[in-house]
Amino acid sequence: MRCSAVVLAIALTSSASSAEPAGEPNRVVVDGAQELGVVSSTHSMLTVSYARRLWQQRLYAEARLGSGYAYDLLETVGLGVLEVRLGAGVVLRRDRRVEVRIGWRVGDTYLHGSLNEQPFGLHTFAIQLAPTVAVRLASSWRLRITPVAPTLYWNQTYAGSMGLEAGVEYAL
Amino acid sequence: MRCSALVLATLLLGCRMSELDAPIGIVMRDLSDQDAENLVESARCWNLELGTQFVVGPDEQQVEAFYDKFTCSHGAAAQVQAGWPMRIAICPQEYWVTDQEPFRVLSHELGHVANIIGHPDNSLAVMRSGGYPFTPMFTEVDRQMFADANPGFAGVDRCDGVVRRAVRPGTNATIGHCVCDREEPLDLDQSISIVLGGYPETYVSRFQAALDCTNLRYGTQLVLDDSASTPQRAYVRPPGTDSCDGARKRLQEHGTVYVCSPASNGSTLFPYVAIGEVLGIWLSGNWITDDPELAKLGRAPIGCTDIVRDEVTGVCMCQQ
Repeated sequence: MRCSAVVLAIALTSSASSAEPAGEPNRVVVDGAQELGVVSSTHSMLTVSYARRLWQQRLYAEARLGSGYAYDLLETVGLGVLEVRLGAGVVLRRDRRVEVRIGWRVGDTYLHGSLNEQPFGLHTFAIQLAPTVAVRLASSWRLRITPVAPTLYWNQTYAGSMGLEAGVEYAL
Repeated sequence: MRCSALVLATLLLGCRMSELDAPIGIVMRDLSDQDAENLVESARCWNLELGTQFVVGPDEQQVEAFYDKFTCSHGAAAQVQAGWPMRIAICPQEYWVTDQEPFRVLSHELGHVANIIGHPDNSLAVMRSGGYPFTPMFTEVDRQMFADANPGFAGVDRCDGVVRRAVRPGTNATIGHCVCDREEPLDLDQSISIVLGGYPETYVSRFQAALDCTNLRYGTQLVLDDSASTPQRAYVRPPGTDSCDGARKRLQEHGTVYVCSPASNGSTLFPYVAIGEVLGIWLSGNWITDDPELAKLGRAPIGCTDIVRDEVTGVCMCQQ
């Protein structure tokens, strides 16, 4: 809780005179992720998301839709994955070239396919921390990297993963 | 100390899940009868060998067992998670991606409930896949890992010789079993029921003839019977049905005896060997050598001593 307050304070007191171009409230993002399972399967994901900036671009909210593949390290399991996430966060640092953000995402991860030739489908609740760095490539394009994205899953039992995300972001 | 943190935190912080000096209640939520019995039997085996106090039902500290599809998605048949209560999450068997026996899986998971973290190299350890029937169930590395995880724990009512069996009798080969193997003399003045399983009919009839001859000569009450619940019972199986790798072997837990004995090679005398295994002596069907063996059990030929045996059928007639 204290950490959250500090993060929020940093965000709100971050330079308002930053050189961020005015009027880029909407972003579309495509990113790929490799999420290493911790007491869970490992996921390879491709995700599309839409993000909207709020309150003088100091906060953001996002909606994400991802698809991918889940497997265990022994490759005895291979399942499809559909992820739906809603997220919100703060922009910690803004300047013309680099942005640093941190946010939370919550949503559903649906595992589907077959195990032992039996149809398998399972929804799990997921909550994820996403610290992200975005680097401007061109006027509307950014490269974004989330180096460590821990996720906690829950459906009767808990599981976790540690993800690495990389993608591109387009400002509408 | 009771941990409510994640398993990962448990691993990192060295936090113990259970206090073994107190009972650990096993609460089963919607398990099939088969899985419930396998879990109860697994708990009994840990209690026997290591003196833990797993009990069925709620208790001050408890572990809850239930089916969990999420566990399947990790490629696991089951897993233990810390918290209150502790939990054994079992992937429903139709999703198991490897061929495993529930008894072995659940025995393994109870080891984690008993604070064992990690898995040894020895694949015969309970904390890996487990060993063969008619061999000691717990390996030295199981005992060492248990001792390391629970320093100072002595346990109560421990049995030094817990032996694994493939299945518990009368369960249609679905429930695993272990036996605290202790030789105790059977009471030959009382009836001993022998349950044969997995033998051809010809062998069963020769076995019956050998029993009749033994009863005739020694006044014993050995009966082929698979229904009566007598205090003294013997389950005799050939190697294929109890996976005892071809060797004759005998286990005994109080009045119940388990014998793994190959089927006859056609000789009418062969069943005497199995009968001897039941009684814990060496019999051959030759009275000259068998009389001293029975004498070890305090039993002289008190019935008919002048017996003629048909060498084709094995049936005995008393000449007196």
